[in-house]
Amino acid sequence: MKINNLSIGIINLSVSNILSVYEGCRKAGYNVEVIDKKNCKFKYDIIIVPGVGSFSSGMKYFNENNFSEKIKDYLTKPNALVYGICLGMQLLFKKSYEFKETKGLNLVNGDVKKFKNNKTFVTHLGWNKVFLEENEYFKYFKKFEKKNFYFVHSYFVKPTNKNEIFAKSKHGNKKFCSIVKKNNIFGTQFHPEKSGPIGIEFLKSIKYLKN
Amino acid sequence: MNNNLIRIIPFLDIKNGLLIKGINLEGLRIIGKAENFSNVYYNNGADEICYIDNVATLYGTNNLSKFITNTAKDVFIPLSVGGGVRSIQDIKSILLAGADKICVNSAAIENINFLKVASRIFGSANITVIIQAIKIDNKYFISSANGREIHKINPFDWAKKVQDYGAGEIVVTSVNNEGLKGGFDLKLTKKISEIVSIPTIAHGGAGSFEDIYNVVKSSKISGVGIASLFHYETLHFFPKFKPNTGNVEFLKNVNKKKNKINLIYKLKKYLKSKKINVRYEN
Repeated sequence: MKINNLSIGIINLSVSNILSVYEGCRKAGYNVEVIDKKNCKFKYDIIIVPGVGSFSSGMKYFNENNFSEKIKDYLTKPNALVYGICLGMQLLFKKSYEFKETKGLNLVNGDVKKFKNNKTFVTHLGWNKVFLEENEYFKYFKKFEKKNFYFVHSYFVKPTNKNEIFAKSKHGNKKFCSIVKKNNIFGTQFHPEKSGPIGIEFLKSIKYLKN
Repeated sequence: MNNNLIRIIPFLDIKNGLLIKGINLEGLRIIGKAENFSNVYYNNGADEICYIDNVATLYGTNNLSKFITNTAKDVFIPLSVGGGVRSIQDIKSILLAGADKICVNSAAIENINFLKVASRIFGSANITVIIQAIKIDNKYFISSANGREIHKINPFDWAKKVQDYGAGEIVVTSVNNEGLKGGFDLKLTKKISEIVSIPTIAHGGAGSFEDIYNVVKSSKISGVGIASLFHYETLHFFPKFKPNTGNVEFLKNVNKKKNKINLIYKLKKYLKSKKINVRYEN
């Protein structure tokens, strides 16, 4: 599949800096547009939910702009792909305990929980490795096995269905899900757009999930 | 023990988009175009870039946004920006321009609650406090405006306090050692990194690979901020650079035939050989 024929729409959560995601996807070779209040057509090959800010402020924005319904409609299309980055991935889950219990988009069954202080910092900040699980897409992603990506988060996702764990990483002694995939829903806890050249490679490889 | 990789962070002092370098944060020299340097550092394997607009604090201005945006178009690693950050609006515009983290010093000293508000709005992980520690008669104080203003607070109490008020990370700058390339203040760095439970970055004094190894080995830091050591090697990449203003005398000595050395890669290779965990990929 030719990457330059694929379009990406990035949802602008207004509180977040989407410039790096935008430029990163462009660098990876996609046609990129921003989805916001003015342009809210969900007609792209891939839709990215980026993430900076808090869970509740992200959900508030989704609900106020009716994006929750739109993203669910979009996902019923046969060739849809939603990709959540960091908080954007967490929003795809059923609920989060950040500050107060808040309902998420409930596209993936599971919770978002806080790291406990396990002889390391509560915030997982910096570069860390990903360990991929074996699955049908492994051949497209194996070049990222044990490679370092940039993380910054204090909460992690816990999918109820273990088969939806695409990769794990380790913070202190705690193993957590760092990549999730459920059908046409994909998410990474790390920021590929902040992970240097290998992050740009990762963004390029998202296209294989369209197969 | 922090099991994350030690981050190698080039620190760039900026004035009107130009990279400058001071000695003890005074006596400025123009070294080159900051964007050129950050591109080199990105391609050479830096883990993060930090821009500090040191004159912004004095004049209370911030013209950084456009310049940050240009950097963020090519540099796909975290970008920290500081200098003259005084209001929530300042933080917002810097983040929206493409920065990932904000570095605060004076604004926190003037009003510690600023940290509380900022970290609540933008998240602790995006708010870094720079502690410009200065040693006078064997006593440590915090300072602002590049060591010009000294405050009667010791940096150890201050570190704890800024953590309590929401800082997500601390940069410890030794004003005495900054720009002299004679090694870090190990005592200062060790003590602060052990007092707080948020990541600490050591800055000020990196003159050799051994200096960097020593500060990593002797403290609990998560990263090292490096300026002169990298900049004076990298300026040979741009022999044609000629600024119109400032102290440029020393640039005339730039040897145009000198080989381009990837110092970040060499440093990481060295640290790895000394069993320090760094991001080191071919």
